[in-house]
Formats: sequence, structure tokens, C-alpha cells
Amino acid sequence: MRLKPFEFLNPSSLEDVFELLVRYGNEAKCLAGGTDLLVQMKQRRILPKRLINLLPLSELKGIHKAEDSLRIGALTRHVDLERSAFLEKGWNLLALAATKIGSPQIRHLGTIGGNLCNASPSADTAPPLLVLHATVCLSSLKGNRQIPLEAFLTGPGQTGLREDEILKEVILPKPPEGSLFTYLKLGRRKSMDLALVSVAVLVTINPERKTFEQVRLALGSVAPTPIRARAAEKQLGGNLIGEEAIREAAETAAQECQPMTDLRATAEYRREMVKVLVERAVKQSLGFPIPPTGI
Amino acid sequence: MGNYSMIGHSVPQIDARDKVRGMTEFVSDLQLPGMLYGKILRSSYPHARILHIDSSKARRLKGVKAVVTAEDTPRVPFGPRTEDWTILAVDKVRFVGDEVAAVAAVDEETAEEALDLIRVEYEELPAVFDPIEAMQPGAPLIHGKERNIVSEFQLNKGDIERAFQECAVVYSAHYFTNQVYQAYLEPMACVVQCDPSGRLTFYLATQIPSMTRITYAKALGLPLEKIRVVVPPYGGAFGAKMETNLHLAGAILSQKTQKPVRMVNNREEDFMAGNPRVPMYIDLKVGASQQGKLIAKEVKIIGASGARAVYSMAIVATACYRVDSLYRFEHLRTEGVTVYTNTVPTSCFRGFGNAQMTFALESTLDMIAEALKMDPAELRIKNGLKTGEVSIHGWQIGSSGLEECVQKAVEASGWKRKREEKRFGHGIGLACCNHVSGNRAFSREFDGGAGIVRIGREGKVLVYHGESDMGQGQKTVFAQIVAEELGVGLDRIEVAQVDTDLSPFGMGSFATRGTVFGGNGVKAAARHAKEQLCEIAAELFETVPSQLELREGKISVIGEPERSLSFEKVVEIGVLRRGGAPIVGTGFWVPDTVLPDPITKYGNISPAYPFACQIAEVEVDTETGHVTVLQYTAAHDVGKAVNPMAIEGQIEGGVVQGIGWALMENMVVEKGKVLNPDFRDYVMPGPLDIPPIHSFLVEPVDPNGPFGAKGIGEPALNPSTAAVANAIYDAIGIRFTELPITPEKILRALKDHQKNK
Repeated sequence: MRLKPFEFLNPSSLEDVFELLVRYGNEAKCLAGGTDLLVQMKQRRILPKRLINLLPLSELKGIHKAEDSLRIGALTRHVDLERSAFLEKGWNLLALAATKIGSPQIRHLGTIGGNLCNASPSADTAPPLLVLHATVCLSSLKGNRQIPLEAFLTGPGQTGLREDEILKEVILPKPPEGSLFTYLKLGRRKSMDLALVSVAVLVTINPERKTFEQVRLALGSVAPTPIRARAAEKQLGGNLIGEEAIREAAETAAQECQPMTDLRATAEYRREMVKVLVERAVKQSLGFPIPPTGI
Repeated sequence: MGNYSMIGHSVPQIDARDKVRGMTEFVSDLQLPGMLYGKILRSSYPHARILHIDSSKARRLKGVKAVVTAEDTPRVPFGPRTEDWTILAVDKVRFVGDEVAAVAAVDEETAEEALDLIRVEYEELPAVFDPIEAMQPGAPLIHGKERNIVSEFQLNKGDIERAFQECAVVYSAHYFTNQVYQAYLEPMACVVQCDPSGRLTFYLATQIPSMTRITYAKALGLPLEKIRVVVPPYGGAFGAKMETNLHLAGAILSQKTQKPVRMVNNREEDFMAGNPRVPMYIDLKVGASQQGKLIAKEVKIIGASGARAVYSMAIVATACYRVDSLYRFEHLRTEGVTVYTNTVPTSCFRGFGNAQMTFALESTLDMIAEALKMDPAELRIKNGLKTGEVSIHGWQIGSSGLEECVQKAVEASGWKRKREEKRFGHGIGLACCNHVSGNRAFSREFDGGAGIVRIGREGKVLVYHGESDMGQGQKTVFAQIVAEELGVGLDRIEVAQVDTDLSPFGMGSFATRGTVFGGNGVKAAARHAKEQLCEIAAELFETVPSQLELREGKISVIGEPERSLSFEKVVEIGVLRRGGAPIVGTGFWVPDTVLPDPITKYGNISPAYPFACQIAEVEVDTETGHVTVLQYTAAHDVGKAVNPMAIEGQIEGGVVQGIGWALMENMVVEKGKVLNPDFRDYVMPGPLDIPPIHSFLVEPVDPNGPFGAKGIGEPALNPSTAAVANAIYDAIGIRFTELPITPEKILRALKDHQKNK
């Protein structure tokens, strides 16, 4: 199917964007990389009358490092995340997840802001950002407000974004010293696929006592939004590192998610895979060997 | 063995350079002056009566030039095999995607908008989607045929009951091969132009230009001479691109508007109204002696044709009996039923039924080998037909490299060692296949190939054929064959696009027949041109034609290299002496194949039979159910390889397609609607899912193929699903009989297996 006709608006500043949003409300959609939006328009799932082109706005681009945080502009593309020297140590988890998104072509167009605003339960940047304690900065004529990513993602395709707002940037606090992390993504093939299940893990350990300190786990594609697996986190935090403990926590994670059945997989399979992937992800973050897994 | 300058040399395909630079104009790129864009309104119901169509609003939309329904067509039933087609739906629709109306407009956007304005009132009818249900009494009738049966195939030989009693091992299983989509790069497309005299020129992506022309003449109620078919480069087919209503809707729109009309399916339409693979239920029972001699085979196949028969009955027939000429079965009982369903019409896809049956048979043979404690490779070698044998159905095996294929694949893959080093989750599996190079049972009117070679004053050689290059490399093979005969370089040769005004009447590209039939046809034509050149040169050298040879761009007296003239010089002199007439060679080749007997199916259906053995090595992740194919070995008997590089490309492509089918590809159809009509959810293997593929060419010189060549297209895929399934069995001890073998199925089976322990 072809795109239905729409008006293409080319604002030259953020203020212009805000004014257009106020004027057109839900008749307008903001265009970033277009890798989700244009597909949905072609499929007639949404038919906005107007598209507001954000791409020329340089204030939405780039990664900026402050004293103890990282600010990532909404228009930062996945390929920029993959290549950025700023995404070091724990922040590197986000770069790792970005390498697993779509195809190289998609990664050259798609943006972090678009990935979050599209709010797919399988969004690859979301689980890493959840464990990195990301907040999003939402901006409008009325000013800026900052909310945790977890509160921003409210349902499949749904966010806390108001009609007059755009997502301006993603803010990452400094991850804990000595963070160990990984991102595992299971697809139907080994590249270019949506996640059937994805797991982001970030842990710190006490090497002398051989215990977990902080444990953060996030799951994709197994609930209406990407979620933290808090019960599983609690089960591991502060406890001795051991295969049995990891396995038990993985089972807890499988119990606390709410997967559904669709074309790609059954709910039962997804739940089972949460168990397998959480176990493998925690092990991999600790440097234990795991079988080659997913994308 | 000849000392060839062209044959057997790996050369890049002659059109590859333009393709990779984006220079090639495919059918969907064609632009003719004043061209309009057509779109089809398709049924969203699987089975419904059309009560009323109101297209007045659509007609009034600015930019719309024509809206047509069945009323605007001849409404003549037609079809390539059974006459169950009409160009646009008459009275009722029979599948989701069925063609109801068509629009031509100044651009595609307008045409799509017009589709939304056409109002169709339907009365929904009960529908049936599964062939077994469709055969039950009381099932809704799709074409008014009893029990929805399109056709039945029966074939019995020997004494099956007694034979099974005497077998040491009998294995039966119920297999299911699912519906998969060919996924060529370019969706179905055409441009149709109606000239003022009413003559239609079809620019088509079609594998069978000449046959399509006959079918379309009937559908349009036109004499044959009013239809011309031209085949520009097109983006793949794998069997799907034969006749399609898309082309005919384009013709009706062009007649109506007197403008050229371009019609291109979008991907969703191509999934819902293309020609996917015939899904089959296969009940197979095979018996063997204690020594591993295959004795008896009983098979019952039920295939779903979808809402039009297309070629499905021939595909089911092929599934029923082709493998009987791979191994020496003595007793057969065969029953095949092809059944209408309210789903997309199914048809040809690389393998033509033999791929479906090879999955079942080769899976079964591994179970028999296991029961006999015999190496599966040995079982195949022991039973495989050899050069010079005549099969139970009268197929004359002019050459068979099957045994050598098995040996090569076994040796190269480390088969013996890897089978001994058993480790749970890791496995290796083998499968063989046979095929045809052209199928007399499918080419009912005649069997043969023809060519025309035209050499102009400047010495350029233009080759005409009537087959169809869909990207498989046929043009290059024809160019090599002609260059070999004329002793010139490939740069001198051009292969003309098929145009029914100019080209020979070719049966087309199917049944892996291009190299053998088209190749022999253009070879004969080149021979004829060569004879004329030799006559001209003989006069110049004052000798006889038989004393001349054509080599390295020269025509010389044999043994006297100083007496020679360049190819161009001889051509120029000849053309000028002949009043400007080009050197035109025409030639044909007719094999001694026969139409099989309608009852016994006895008869040699092909001039040359290719064979193959493929070996897959897999790792099964027993926690996720995911299968990784680690290594792949494919040994193919291709006769004399004309272009080894192109054959390796064909083998790799077939294996990739086979791995995809084995592990992931599946059209999910619910109540007649395809739920995954896109590449997001119709999952195919990506580069990381494909292992290194090691190809080996086994080259017995076939007595009938050009220079001893046989076909490769379909056998490249036939054994792949079974090789993977057998490797999975070796890895985890579970036999999967339904395709695709997905991670969920594997995991569920592993759990059931553990419970039952």
C-alpha cells in the first residue's frame, strides 16, 4: 500500500514544533527516523493528516556527557549509539542493545526517541534503559518535565507523552562502579527480527564475599510494556552468587512477567524463555560461559 | 571428453554487472508513454456471493480512467489445466484475495483510493479451509465439484499386501508439508498495451511466455495472433510466475482505456493472491528387507489446491510417484487427491511436489536405516538407481551420479566420524533426491527446445530462445553454448529477450528444463549458423566445409593455421555476398520422451535425470529449541557443468530456501486469511542463519543433455528439509514429521519425551 496523502510540516525550531503541536493536536505526528511511523501509515493503522519533521532540529541530536550523567538527544540514531565513545562502562549496555535492532538500514534511520515513543513492548532500547535508571525529558511550550522511563511507558503503543509534548532527550545517571551487564535477545532468526523475549541485566558484586550487591533486571516482549523483574532482582540482591540462586531467580522472573500469545510465539513459550534467558543473561554478565543465544 | 573453451568454465552471469549496478529495468520499472497504473480490488471474504457492485463513486474520482468488473470481461472460464478461472469474480468469490474489480488511474495512489470507493455487497457463504474437511460430505462446494475433489491419482504395481508381510522392517508415518511462499524479490508484475488494432502486447514476468499466450487468448476471447508476449528481465519466480489474473486485469484495463497499463502486486497482495506451495498431508509406509533392500511403498497424499486448481493436481501427481525412480521399489500403492479449499490458489514452487515427498521419504528412510542398524548413506547407495537402469515407471536413467554424490558428501562432511562422536544436541543428517530435466507429463503438446541464432554484418551474435531467465543464469548458459559452437568469446554474444513475435515457441522454464531443452535448442541453431559460415569460408579457402574449424574467433582450415580468417571477416563477406541477409541459424531438438500412459503412468518422461545428496550438521539448543545449522554439504549430479559458478549459486540458493522451509517459513492462515503477509512475520533465514555451504559437482556426461549437461534448479532444494530433519533426529532422537520444525515444537517434543521416559 502507498502512503495516503498528508501535509509535511518543516519547523525550523523547537518553538515552531511546540506551536504546531498546540495547533494540530492529535491530527499531527512527529517524524523522526520513520521506521515505525511510516510503516504504520502504509498499513493504514494510523492516518495522521500532518507530519511534523523533527529531523533538521540539531538541538535534538547528539550525546552529551555531564559530570555524572549522560544526555542523549531524541534524534540520536541507533548507529550513533553503537559507535559513541561516551557509551562506556555500564552505559555500554545501551550500545550493545542498539546493535541488535533491525537491520543496518534500520539502525541508520531509527532513533532512540522514536523507539521509546513508539512504545512497542519489544523495543530494544527500553530494557537496557530501564536497568540504567533512565529518565526522559519531555518538552513543550510550557517547559520541560522529567519522568522516569518506567513511568513514561504505559502500554503497548502508549506513553505518558501529552499531545503538546515531544520527547527531547534521555538522561542516564552514572551506573554503579563495577557494573556487570548484558543484553540477550531471542528472535525467530539470528538477525533482523523483533524480540520474542529480551533481557537486560546489570549487576554489581562483592568479589570477597562472592555475593550480588545491586541486581537490576528488565524484560522485553513479555508484558504490555518492557518491565523490571523486581521480585527476581530482590531474590538475588545481597545473596551468594550461585547457579541454583540464579536459576531460582530466573523462575521468579518467568512468574512475574505477563506474556501473551501472538503470531510470533505462545505465551507459554515466552514465559519459558524468560527463565532461560534471565539465567543465561545473569551468568553471562558474571562471565560464566553460556551457549550462543539469539540475536 | 571435449576440450572446451566455454563449457565448464565459471563465468559471471552476463547480466550480473547491470543488475548489481541497478541498471537493469525490471518489469515493475517499465514506463511507456501515457501509461496508467492498475490496481485490483480483492475479496476480503473467503467465500461469498457477490450481490451488487457499485463503482460509480470510484469512476467519478479525478484521475480514474477505468473501473472494470466481470461485466467488462468475456466471462469465459479458462485455466492452464482445469477451466476454473475467470479474470474477475463472476457471481462469487472463493478466497481472500480473489479478484473482484480493477481500476486504472493516472497514478497508483489514485488507483488505490478508487478501490476504497468501490462498494461491494456480499452474502457470506460457509467456507472450508482444510482439504480433509473439504472432502467431507456436506462441506461447502467451492466449484460445484463432488466433495471438492479436483482430481485423483492412482497407481498400483506388484502385490503390496504380500510385499509388506515379507518385509523385515516397515515404517509408517503421517507427514505434513506446510504452505510456503516463493518470496522472489520482485512481486508479480506486468505492463499491457493495447494498440489501435486491438492487438495486445504483454510485458510479463512469466516463466512460460508461449503457453501463457495461449491461455490468455482463450480468456480474452482473442485469436492467438492478437496477443504478443515479451519477457523483460524480472526478479525471480521459483515456480510461481506462470499465469496470473493480474496480467489479464491489466489487459482488460488497457483495452478499456486504450493506454498501456502497469500492474504490480504489493507484497501483501502477492502473499494473499500469489501462487504458494501446495500443502500436503502425506501418509507414507515403506518396507525393506533385512538386507536393506527397499521393497514396498504405500502412499496417500491429500493436497490443497486452494480456490483454483492451477497446476496443483500435477504437483500432487509428481509427489505421488517421482521418487519411485530414485530407488528400486517393486511394489507400490499410491493414491493422491487434490482438493479445492477457500484459500489462495497453490501451485508450483521449486521441487513441484517432489520436494514435499522427498521430505517424507527421506525422513522415513532414516527410520528404516536405524531399525536395520544400517548406515543411512549405505541404504541410499544400495537402493539408488544407476546409469543404464530403467525405473519401475519406464524412466531411462541415461546417467546417474547418485552413488558418487553420496560418497562425496559423506567424505567431505566427516559423516562417519561425526556420527560416531555422539553428543546430545548435536547431529548430522543426510538426504538424497532425484529429479527431471523437463517433464513430458507436464509438456503435454510436445517436448522439445528450439533456438535462432542471428549474426549480423558486424559479427554480433544474437540468440533467440523461447524459455525464460528469471535470474537463474539461463541466458549465460545459452550464451556459453552458442559461443562454444561458434568458437567466439562471450562478448560477441547477446541473448535476446523472449518476444513471441520473434522467438521460437518455447515451453518455458519449469521442471528444471532450461539447460537441457533451451540449451539443446540454441546449440542446434548455432550448429546451423556454423554450417553456413563454413560454407562461406570453404569457398574462400577453396576447400570443403568439413575441413574447417571455428576457434578463438577465427575460421581456419584444420591443421593449417596460417589459412584462417577472423569470424567477423567471414560473416561480413557472407552477408555482403548474400544481398545483406544476416546469417540465421535455426535449430531444434526433440528428445525421445513419451507421455506417460494415463493408467499405468509408464513412460520415460525426461531426457535426463539429476540426482543429489545433501548433508546437514546441526546444533539444537535444548533449552530454547533453536536449531543452528553448523555446516552444509551438497553434492549434486548435474551432468557436465556448463557454468560451475552459476550451479554453485543455484545449490546455495536451494539449500537456503530448504533450511528456511525446514525451520521457520510458514504462511499462517486463519479462516482463509493470511495473517503474516509481510517479511516481518513471514520469517526467512537471514545471513547469520546460513552455515557455510560446501558444494560438490558430480559430472557424469549425460547422453542427452547439451555437452552432457543436466538441470539443477529444483534438486538444489528437494533434499534440504529432510537433511535438516534427519540431523535434528540424530541430535535429540525426536522425529519431526511436520514442517516447519520450529523452536516451540522442538521444546514441546523434548518435554513430552522426558515425561514419557
